Amino acid sequence: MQTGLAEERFQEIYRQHQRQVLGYFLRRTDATSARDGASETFLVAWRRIADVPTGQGTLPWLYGVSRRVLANQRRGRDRYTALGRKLIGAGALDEPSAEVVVLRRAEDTEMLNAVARLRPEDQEILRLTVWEELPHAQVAEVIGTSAHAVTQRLHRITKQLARDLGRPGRQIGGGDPS
Amino acid sequence: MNAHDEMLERMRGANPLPDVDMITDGQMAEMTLQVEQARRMGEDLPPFSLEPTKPKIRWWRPAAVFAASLLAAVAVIGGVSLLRGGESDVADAPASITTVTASATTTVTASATTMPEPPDGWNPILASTVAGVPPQQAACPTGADPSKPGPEGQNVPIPPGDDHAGAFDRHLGKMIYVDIFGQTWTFDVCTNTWEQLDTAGEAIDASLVYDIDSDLTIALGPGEFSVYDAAANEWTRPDLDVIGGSRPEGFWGVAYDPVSGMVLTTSGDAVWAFDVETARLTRIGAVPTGTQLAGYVAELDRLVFVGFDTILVDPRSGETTTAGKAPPYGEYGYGFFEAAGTVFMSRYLGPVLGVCGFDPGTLAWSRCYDEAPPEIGPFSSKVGDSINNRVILTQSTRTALDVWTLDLATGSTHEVVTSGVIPTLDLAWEPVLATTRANAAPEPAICPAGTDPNEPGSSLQQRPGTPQGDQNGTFDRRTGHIVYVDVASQTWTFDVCTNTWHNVDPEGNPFTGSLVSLVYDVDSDVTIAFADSRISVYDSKAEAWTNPQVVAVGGSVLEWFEAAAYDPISGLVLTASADQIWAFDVATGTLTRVGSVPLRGRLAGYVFDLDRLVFVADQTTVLVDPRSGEATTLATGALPFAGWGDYAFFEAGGTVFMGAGEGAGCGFDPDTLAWDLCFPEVSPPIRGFAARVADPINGRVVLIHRSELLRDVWGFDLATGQMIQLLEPGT
Repeated sequence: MQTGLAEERFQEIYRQHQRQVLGYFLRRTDATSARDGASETFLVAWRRIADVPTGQGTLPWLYGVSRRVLANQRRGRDRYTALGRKLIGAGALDEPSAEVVVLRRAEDTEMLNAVARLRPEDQEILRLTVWEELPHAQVAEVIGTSAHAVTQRLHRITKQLARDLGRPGRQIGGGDPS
Repeated sequence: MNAHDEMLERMRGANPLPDVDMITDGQMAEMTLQVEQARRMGEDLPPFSLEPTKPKIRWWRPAAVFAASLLAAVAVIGGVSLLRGGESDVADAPASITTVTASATTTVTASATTMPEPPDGWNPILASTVAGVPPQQAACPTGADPSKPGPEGQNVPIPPGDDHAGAFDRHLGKMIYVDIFGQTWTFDVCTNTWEQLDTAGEAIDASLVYDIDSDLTIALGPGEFSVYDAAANEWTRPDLDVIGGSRPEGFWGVAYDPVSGMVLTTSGDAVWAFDVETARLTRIGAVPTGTQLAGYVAELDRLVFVGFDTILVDPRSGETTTAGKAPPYGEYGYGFFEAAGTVFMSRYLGPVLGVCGFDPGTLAWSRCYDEAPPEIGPFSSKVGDSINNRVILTQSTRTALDVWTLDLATGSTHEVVTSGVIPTLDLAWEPVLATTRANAAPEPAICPAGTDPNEPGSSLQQRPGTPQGDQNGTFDRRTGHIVYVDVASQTWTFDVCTNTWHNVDPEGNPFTGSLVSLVYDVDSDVTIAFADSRISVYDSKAEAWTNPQVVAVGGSVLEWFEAAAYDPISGLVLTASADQIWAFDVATGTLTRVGSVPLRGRLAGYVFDLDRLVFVADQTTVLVDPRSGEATTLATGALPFAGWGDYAFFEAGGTVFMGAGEGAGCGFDPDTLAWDLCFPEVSPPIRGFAARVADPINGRVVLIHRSELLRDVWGFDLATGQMIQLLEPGT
């Protein structure tokens, strides 16, 4: 791709998706990290401009990059936090996430706590489906699985949430193996 | 509203940012500014996809031509050294593309002779393609001490078998490494620290090489490549455009050619060049007979092939030159790697690691470091670290991975990762065992009237030879016979009603392997054989083996299958390989990766009353819900027998038994969640048999002796704990 065309394409991608990408990060981390993460995502898009899918594939691709950028941010933060705790005492560097700051009701707290107990990938499937309102096929693209698997897993996730939020868990040897 | 919709609605209500239009213009402006600043800062590292199309102009090309002219005049006085060193970016560049001519090499060393053998119509693509501008090499931060060991107790990868599991990304300043699960790690050569990455896409089981001009790491796997972009933290699999031959099934040896910017490898007798930007894999010529690709020597601009002799091949013309004998190969294997612009061989001289490099000045393997401490090795990868002028050696065992360095200036070795911890694999649980349901099981066979299962069979009968594994038999519920595969892959059945062997002459043969596990698939009424990393299916009605085309879903089978169990709820057959649990559906030929083996343990079997898989790790028992993956480590689950490696697990009476030591065996009690269904000591002990197969008709376990001399068969009565001989030793 020629440089001029690449610039044009990048501007188009940025104009169309800047809010969604920044929103993705704001829903998952604090404002500063969100801005850093979104910037890094678009920097990757610029470097890989020829690989960015066109049409409806663009946003899932950007979310896929965002997911990995966020994971790397968190790994770095975890290390930093752990080091900080060791040096100056537990909790000193904890920074409330957007999820904590923006909580509106106790019910939401309960829900988000239950979501946090899901496997990371299940959390992401749920968030992409509900918060980013992606169709299952596009969630599948972000996660790297099939739309069918997303549908199946979403049912399992909501079942687990329902159990976690209201119904007792099954005991070993408790009967019905299904 | 059902529970599913209710949960989604609650999740919607908990969205901290319900509408992206709530983001302020100020926030957007800050981000835009940051993106533009980052893009401007990255101008010295332009996006590779925006590079001009080839041929590209490489800045040092005119210099190389000039140097070639100069060297033609002064080659005999070692002028090649004039172009060594200097800026880091030229460290891998060839001093000249015409240095080694017949006259020059003859002058340098009398043993070097030129064979006018432009073999097999050498494709000149490596002469007509020019690499792009390489990215700047990283440097260690001020104050960093690369000789200082990394953090103690840090997580480290489980090494694969490949010699080239790592490659040095000079731009990142880290070694890229792919572990046995295909997961990607980096090793920081300045801090000696491993980091596991959460990459998009997966690498393949492959040899790695860093493509300098594209700033990408290429993994050359069986029949396909994958490409790692460190900037995007992503693996992709290009659709190879194979030119000049059919797609090779595997590759052997790897080298990076800094002149053309292509990655070179071999397959069978062909040399291939891979251009990552076009995904073209071009056959460029023939491998010199009896040699293998060792690497590329920058000063000479030559590929090095090694057999009995060392053969230098001009990548541009295919012209070959013999340059003396190969170094001694050692007793326990060898491998090649590139470092400091030349090729090194590592091999084990007795217990000592020897490293010998090819000296481009003398055209001999004279840069040797054979004094390494005896505790070094074996290594899963040897990677040149161009920042610190050393070699990174990753030592490999299944439980620990230590890292040593070999300083190429001083020859000294340092252990820089001394106490790594291999983390437990934590895969998301694939719910295939929850979503698949078995058909109703057929009624089991019964012994015909007039037979006496306690009557020993004739000692004169033919019987199978002794195989290697310990799960070589399984009970075919429909026929009432044990299906058994012996050392010669002969198929036998053992009639538990008459205690008689029958040598079946089936159509087809199962895959053979040193480790065979058989399991009867009740749902499909076939026997599944896992042999090493392959699967065969036996249909007793048709008396035929088939070797189905198996499609692995969710991952790659990286090691041999270690066990087999039938899940009566899903009707799928379970096995484990490289700490991963797999479910095989014989109806579709699909092998689905279900999840990870807890605590890197061993699959012991399935307990029906609990609907749990039983895993054993060290002295700990872990139950895993096959439907959800939920794992429970049992406080009561300490094993009844000590000593790893001397266990034998088998399923009987709906639960799992183990035999070890001289004891008879203990079963896992689903009521107490402990191994307390123990039987008194018996002779012979339950371990030491090639198969222990539950016989539900007679309520006992049939034990088929491993001893080639005896080959007797015993029955272990689950009700009484008594051992009776069902077949006397043969003559």
